[in-house]
Amino acid sequence: VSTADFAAFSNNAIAFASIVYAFAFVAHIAEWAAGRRLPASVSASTRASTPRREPVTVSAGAAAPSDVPPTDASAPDITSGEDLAARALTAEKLGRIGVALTVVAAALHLAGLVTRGLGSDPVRVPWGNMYEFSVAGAFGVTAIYLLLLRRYSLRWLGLLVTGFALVVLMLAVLLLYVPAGPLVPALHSYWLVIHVVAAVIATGAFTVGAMASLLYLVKSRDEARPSPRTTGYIARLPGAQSLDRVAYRVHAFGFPIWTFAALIAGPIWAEYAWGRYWGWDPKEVWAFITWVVYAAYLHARATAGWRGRAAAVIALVGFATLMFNFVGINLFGSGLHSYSGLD
Amino acid sequence: VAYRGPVIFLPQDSSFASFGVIKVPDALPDQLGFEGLFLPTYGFSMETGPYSRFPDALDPVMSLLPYRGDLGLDTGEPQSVYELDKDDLEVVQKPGGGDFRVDIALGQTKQLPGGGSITFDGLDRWVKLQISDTPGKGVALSGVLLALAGLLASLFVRPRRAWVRVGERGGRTVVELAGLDRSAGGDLADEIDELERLIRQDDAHSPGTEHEEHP
Repeated sequence: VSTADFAAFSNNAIAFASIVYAFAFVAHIAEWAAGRRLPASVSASTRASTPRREPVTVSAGAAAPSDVPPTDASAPDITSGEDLAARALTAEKLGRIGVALTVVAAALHLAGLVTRGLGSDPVRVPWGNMYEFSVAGAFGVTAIYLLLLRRYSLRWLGLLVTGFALVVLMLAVLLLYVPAGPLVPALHSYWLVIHVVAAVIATGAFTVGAMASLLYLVKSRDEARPSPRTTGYIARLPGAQSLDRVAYRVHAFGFPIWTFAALIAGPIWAEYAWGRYWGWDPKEVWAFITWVVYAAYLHARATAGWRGRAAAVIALVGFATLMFNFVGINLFGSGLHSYSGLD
Repeated sequence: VAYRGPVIFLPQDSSFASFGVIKVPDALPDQLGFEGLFLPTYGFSMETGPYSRFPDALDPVMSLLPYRGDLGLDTGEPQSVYELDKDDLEVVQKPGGGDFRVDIALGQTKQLPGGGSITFDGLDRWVKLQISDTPGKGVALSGVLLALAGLLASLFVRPRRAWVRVGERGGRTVVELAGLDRSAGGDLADEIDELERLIRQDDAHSPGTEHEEHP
């Protein structure tokens, strides 16, 4: 198998991964569509086998909707409990299909990344330019979602995660693609592995965290209404407290890794490569801004008067700075981190 | 020959397109100055003009704009060797009008309109070395690692407090237990129960204790 074969395989694998992500996205849409008129209190019997639903989820989130009788005015066509259980089962099946498709897509995605590395001569890590970093970053998001899926019962994130992966892969292929090739000389260092892997993991965690924070804002707004929704996607989300906790845990996981990637490994590599630890290069400045904003989020979450919605907004601002640093600085900036490979 | 010698051109980009000036104060009748780019591997496009394709000297070309006039060296004011003082300089004009730009490949000689010539004799590679020592970096590294350890501890160690208060009420000893969880979401009740179990274990041999619970 030649280098060019690997590179071609990589392109195909990424294309197929996008297609399977699209199917997974559709499956999740169908899942929530099937549950549209379904009261949040009704779940398929198979749901019981989903491990470790957290106790607080039940008390905070599902308690309010379950008080409302299923024959609510908003769902007039629902007649019998059996019918509801059948629908819940359909939604459950569709959701599982979505997860299974996401796993397949992630496997293709990983294969695309590996062969991208093998498809370059000499063989190298597959994150040497903006196309590759986008593909690797999208994989980081999917991987973190799949790893935490069982532990935190994250299936409600499937819609956002598959949609995100699909959009990022499409943008990468359509706008950022450059053929596989050797690294720019400045990137020849083992710090490329340490620094960038840490950045990819932290970016993935922050992205998943931003999704959870976004849904937290939506859900807490709904819970604050006099009569919260009893059916549909928002009602079937975990309770706001539980969403907030997932968001916090993912951010708290990502933050030390970001600290290491941006403020420790980055400067050490910068000292080897450019002769200074910190030079207020645009990328460095924005990485620091992102760090400060996420530090503010972690503090706000533990501060009375800031916890809850204000903290979630800060987390989303942090995600915005992260995205600006990746997209804005790469494309419009003129710093030393100009490795997008696009002219 | 009015001037001969190496002149340093400073690299501007990753392909080593380098900018510099050549000053010829002894040229007659007027002093000459040249300003422009050294391109290690010459390339040209309509958008960018002359540019360097590759950092190595595969097709070295100087792309220069010649000036004629007074270089301003005789006033005694110090000036940069990388800049022309253009106050009293005029760009050399083509015979038909317009600025005269000269591209010289290695070994070529080009005549200037109005007299004079310039030859690209050769190129010397040069390197800028900066040697420094940072004796404090071990300290800085240990500091940052400690900070990271502290950050991890502050994020993942769950701070919680427990109180055991022993008091007397109506001639009986009352033991009260309380806990405070500073992080949301932990189940403190289990730990208080465990604490209670430990106390009861020690207390097992003294009968007649009663149990009352206030959540």
